[in-house]
Amino acid sequence: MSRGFTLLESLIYLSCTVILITFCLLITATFYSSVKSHTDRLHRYLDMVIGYDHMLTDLRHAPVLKTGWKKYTEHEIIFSCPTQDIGWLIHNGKLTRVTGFYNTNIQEWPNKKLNLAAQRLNCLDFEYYLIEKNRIAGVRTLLTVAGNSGSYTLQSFIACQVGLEI
Amino acid sequence: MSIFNFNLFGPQCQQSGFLLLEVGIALFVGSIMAISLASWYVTVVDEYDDMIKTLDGLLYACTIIEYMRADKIAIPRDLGPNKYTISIEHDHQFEHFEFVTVTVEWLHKKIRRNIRLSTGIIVK
Repeated sequence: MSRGFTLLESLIYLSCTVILITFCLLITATFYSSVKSHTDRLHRYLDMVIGYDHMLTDLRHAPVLKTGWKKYTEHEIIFSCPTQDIGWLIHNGKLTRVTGFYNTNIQEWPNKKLNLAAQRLNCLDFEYYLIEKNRIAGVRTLLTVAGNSGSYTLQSFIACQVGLEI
Repeated sequence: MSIFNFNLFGPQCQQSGFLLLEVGIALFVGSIMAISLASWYVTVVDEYDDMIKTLDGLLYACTIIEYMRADKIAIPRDLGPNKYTISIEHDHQFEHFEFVTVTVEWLHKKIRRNIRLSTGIIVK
């Protein structure tokens, strides 16, 4: 004589299935969140490297003499190039390159063009490396991003034009 | 023998449950899947760590070269303790110019990895 499951049997089977599925989901969720955190970290790292690479191109052509630098603070740089002024700063959590003309008298850009260089960056710090009183040999940059699993800082150094002159 | 060989409401009825072999196969398949998932996880995490270390090493090598350019000497500056070992080969030397190869080495899972960058430096 064949029969179906009793209510008790069904409940026990159902409970076992639910426990098993929950356990599997928990393991998968843990793995997934961990992998996602690593992916996020790598992406942020790549953002920093891209940002550094963009700045490197510009700072290579930065003037040697301090007089050619319109602003050199801890978080922002502006220097003159033959055709325009170039600035680097963090604007709305994004590494931004500003081009145009910077008026030092009013400390503003009357006309400027903003270019996004890298996203999701939180802080940009500059340290200036002087070889003489009025000559900037290079800039040490610290790019910081804050991720879900902590913040990461990328330290690098960019030699200015002085490194290319004999 | 069934694991549910009782009935609260009806007469006793013999019902066949899972065989030990079936349970064994299920456990085996489950274990294989769990091991696959774990190894996939370890591989992914390891790959990410490796990529970050490589990027870090690359930037470290670039920073060393940039400092040499700023200082105008083909000797690496001591940037403090870190996980990388640095070495410099002086390929060709001229009066005010040197070709150098910067090698940055690090250990990844007991395997020695490295990045080599060759460049020219204007020296004093």
